[in-house]
Amino acid sequence: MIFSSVFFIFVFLPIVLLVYFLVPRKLKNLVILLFSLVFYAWGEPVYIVLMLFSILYNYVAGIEIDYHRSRGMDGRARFTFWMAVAVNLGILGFFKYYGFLLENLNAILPAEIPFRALSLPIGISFYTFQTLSYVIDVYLDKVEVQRNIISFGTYISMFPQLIAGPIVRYADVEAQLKNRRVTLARFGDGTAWFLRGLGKKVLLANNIGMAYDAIAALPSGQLSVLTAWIGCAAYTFQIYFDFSGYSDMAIGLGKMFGFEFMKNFQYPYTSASITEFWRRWHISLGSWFREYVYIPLGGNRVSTAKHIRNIMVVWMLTGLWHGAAWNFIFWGLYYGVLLLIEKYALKNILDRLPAFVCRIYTMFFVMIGWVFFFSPGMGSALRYLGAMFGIGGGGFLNGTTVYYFRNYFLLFIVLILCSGSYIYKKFLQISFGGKREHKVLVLTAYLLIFLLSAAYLVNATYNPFLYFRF
Amino acid sequence: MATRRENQEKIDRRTMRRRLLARRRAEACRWLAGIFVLLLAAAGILNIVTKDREFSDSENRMLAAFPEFTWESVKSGKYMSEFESYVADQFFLRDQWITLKLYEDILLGKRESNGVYLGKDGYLMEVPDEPDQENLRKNLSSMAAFAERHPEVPVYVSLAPNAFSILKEKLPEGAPVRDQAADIADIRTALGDGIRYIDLTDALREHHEEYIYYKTDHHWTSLGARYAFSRLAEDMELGETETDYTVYTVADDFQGTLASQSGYHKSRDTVQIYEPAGGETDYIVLYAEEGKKTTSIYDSASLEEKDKYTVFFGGNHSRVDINTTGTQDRNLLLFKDSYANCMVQFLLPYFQNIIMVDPRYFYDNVDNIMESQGITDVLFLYNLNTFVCDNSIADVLAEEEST
Amino acid sequence: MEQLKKGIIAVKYILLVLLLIFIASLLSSGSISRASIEQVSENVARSLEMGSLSPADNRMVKRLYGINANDYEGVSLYVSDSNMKVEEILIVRLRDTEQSKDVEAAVQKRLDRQLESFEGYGPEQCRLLEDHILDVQGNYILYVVHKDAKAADKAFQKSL
Repeated sequence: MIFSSVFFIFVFLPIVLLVYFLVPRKLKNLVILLFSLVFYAWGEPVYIVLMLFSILYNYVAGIEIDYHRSRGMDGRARFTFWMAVAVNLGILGFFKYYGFLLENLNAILPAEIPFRALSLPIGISFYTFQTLSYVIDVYLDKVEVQRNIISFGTYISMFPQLIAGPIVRYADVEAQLKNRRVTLARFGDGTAWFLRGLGKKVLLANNIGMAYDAIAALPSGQLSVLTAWIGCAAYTFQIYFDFSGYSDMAIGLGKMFGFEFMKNFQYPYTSASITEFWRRWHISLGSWFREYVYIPLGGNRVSTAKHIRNIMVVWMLTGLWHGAAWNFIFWGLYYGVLLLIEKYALKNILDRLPAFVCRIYTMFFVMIGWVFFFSPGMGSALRYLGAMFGIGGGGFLNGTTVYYFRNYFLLFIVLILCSGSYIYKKFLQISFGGKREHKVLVLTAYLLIFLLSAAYLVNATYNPFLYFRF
Repeated sequence: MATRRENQEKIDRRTMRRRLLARRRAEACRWLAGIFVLLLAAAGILNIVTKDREFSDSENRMLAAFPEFTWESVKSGKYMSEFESYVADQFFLRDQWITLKLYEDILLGKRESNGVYLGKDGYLMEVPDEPDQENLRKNLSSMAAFAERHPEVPVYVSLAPNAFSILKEKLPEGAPVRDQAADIADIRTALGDGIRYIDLTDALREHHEEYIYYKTDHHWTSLGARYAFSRLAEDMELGETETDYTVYTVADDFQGTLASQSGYHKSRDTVQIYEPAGGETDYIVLYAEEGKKTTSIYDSASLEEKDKYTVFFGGNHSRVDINTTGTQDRNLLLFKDSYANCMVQFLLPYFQNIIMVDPRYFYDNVDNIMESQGITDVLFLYNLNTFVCDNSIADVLAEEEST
Repeated sequence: MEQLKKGIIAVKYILLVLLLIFIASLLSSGSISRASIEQVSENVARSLEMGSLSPADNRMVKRLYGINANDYEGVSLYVSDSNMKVEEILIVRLRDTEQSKDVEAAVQKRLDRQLESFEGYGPEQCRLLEDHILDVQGNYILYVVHKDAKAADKAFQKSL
């Protein structure tokens, strides 16, 4: 089930809310757990087994680690811990990379190993990272072990962030699992987050996504330089508004049930360097890798050679996390190299350049990066890049370019405006900052988003959700 | 001292202001929360109260019904996806929501909706399909082989270009379409010399300012078919043909498939039928599969239906035999898609028998028909967009294995 | 306390075993197979007494089942030469698992028609028809009417 569907908003959500606020406090976590399991099973029922396994296994592993450690049996604790890490990564690896691995093996080996492609369990990349954060933190004694299976199950399967993040670390919600309060104002704040996210996803991302799809489907002869850039820009906006919209909806839903999740995006397209971009893009993933991979490897407090190694390891893993294909790995390494160059060579230069030059520089490399991300393989990525730089024979500009430009001009303007913080700040300023407040303006704006989005949802012939793949 | 107090006051003012903002925001949030919950409740009630519809006229399709609950369907996830389509399909005021969505798109400057271009002057046009190259090649070689098997009978192929290439001026500015002239050239080369290709492009293009394609439907109008017919008649050597027709307008509120597909219901179309002024031909129409006989190629009941183009033959059939009382000595085997349905009214007077075969539904041996019906002419009449995506012609033309 | 610990460890390993069983069952059914239709049909054909069964062309598929073979990744059909025999094998490789509904419906229609025509005077044929196997495995569908239907189904599943 996805949030941006008629079914979720008009059937599932009202029922969950009704039940959640009717039952006594003691049962609230159980309600979230049960509905989360239904939510998870909705798309692919068999994989509910996997979810239940993850909950039970990590619950037991946590208790065992704690038991050994509290008795000073560090060796046993270590063994249990590494086994838990291996099992969690093993499941992720198997379901996500099994097909990729065999495909590459088949390409190298003379004999063909037959295999069946398995569909990817939804959200597995996200919840595996959550279980890992729990197991690691218990092992390092950073958090208390969770002895309540319902609370633990609620943490792993919580439907607001189940399928597309943000990746919530156990430490961040430990207290909220036990004790949380929902006030009307907080619920309303959650609603506002949810509706903003819905608008971003349905009105902005899906619409510009159609431009990208249409351009990506053009025969290469018709792809002029400018059309290729329009397509790339379309994807650049689509992925941001899609993913950040979904994160906003998750954060909003969390608030409605009293949870506070970490912000996942902070206007990444206004960054003045690649380093800054990654501090603002998919923040929960970046901080997960920093906490659990980069710092344990020694971070930057090591020799330059080792630091370079650490960066490249983290970014290769980041790439691989996004998908089991060479172009994702390349995409990750590409950022690793860019970050190293920035750190060791460009830093001083960037500091002296005017801000808008830095932003253009950042967006240029981010957009090139997305080409590797959206292409089905390395070959087609290079072909698309070729078209963007005039090696492709589609000319610089043609009738198709004009058509897409006219069709999406207005939307592009809206997208550019919404990529920065200015509009939202101004909106808050006008609504609340003046002598008189303009409550009606706020309410009208949010309800309008709701109404306009609902029309798209009802028409949902076109509602692909991009971040499912990861 | 003074500056310190000033600073303190400044900080106080800021704190006050921050508190004021927070209070106002919280207040607005409380309102939003209340309204949101009310709206969800209201939508819920409206959805329950609204009666389920079986069919959507405007979308021209069956709407999903409440799914049947079985363990199997839950396990496979079918139940869930059916449930979701049920909720979306039976959503209250569904048609109005869809219209709202279309206006949002137009407001944003989009000239395309669900695979349909919203052209100028209310013209809707298909976004062309990518050809199915593999099947296209198979079809073309099977047609060439078929012509070779029957050297005594002339085999004609005529593919009508679609509105998006004939009425280029009506397309949204710069809308990408296939180059159908190039497609035709490729097809002609592949068909080879054994087949006589009749190019309709010029005959239609010449009249592009007239009403030769429906605005809301992917078919040509009877007028378009008429211009095409004069070209066919010439190439097929039908002799002196009728030039004077009595035209009857049978519907003026037709909204075709493209209106359904796009959700854009602003234009209306007129459906006309043509009868030769110089006296009509008597004939019997036999629908082979349905075993139905009539004395008219027009199906007036269809005019009560949504799809008024089906006034010609009541739609598509696997095989239709038309026997005329005329004394001409020519018998036509017509392989066709729905474009041909409104062409037959022009062809009627010039053949003793016309056998219409729609390969999408037909599976009998066509070589048998060739012999038993004494076929003297074979015509493949399609619109180009359907033809390049067809995957049924080759199978129908395949030579029966002698067993 | 010691007991609790043992219990916990036992639970953990039981869970792991269950997981392996689950993965094994996933791998053996329901997922997308990359086997070619030619290979699958050959294996199935070899698993039973072919007798009067011989391969039929796409037109036959349309005639008997009303489905267009080119809409699918591949279709192979074996029918009996004699009208009085009901033995039949249909194997369809789907383009997309959504198509299984259409094929199942087509098979059901064909089966009903056959049952109707043999009802009352062909008890043996009816028996065979009633014992048919219709097996949907991800992107492959097998429909077989034959006394060795079970063997055919086994060969079918094995070759996916």
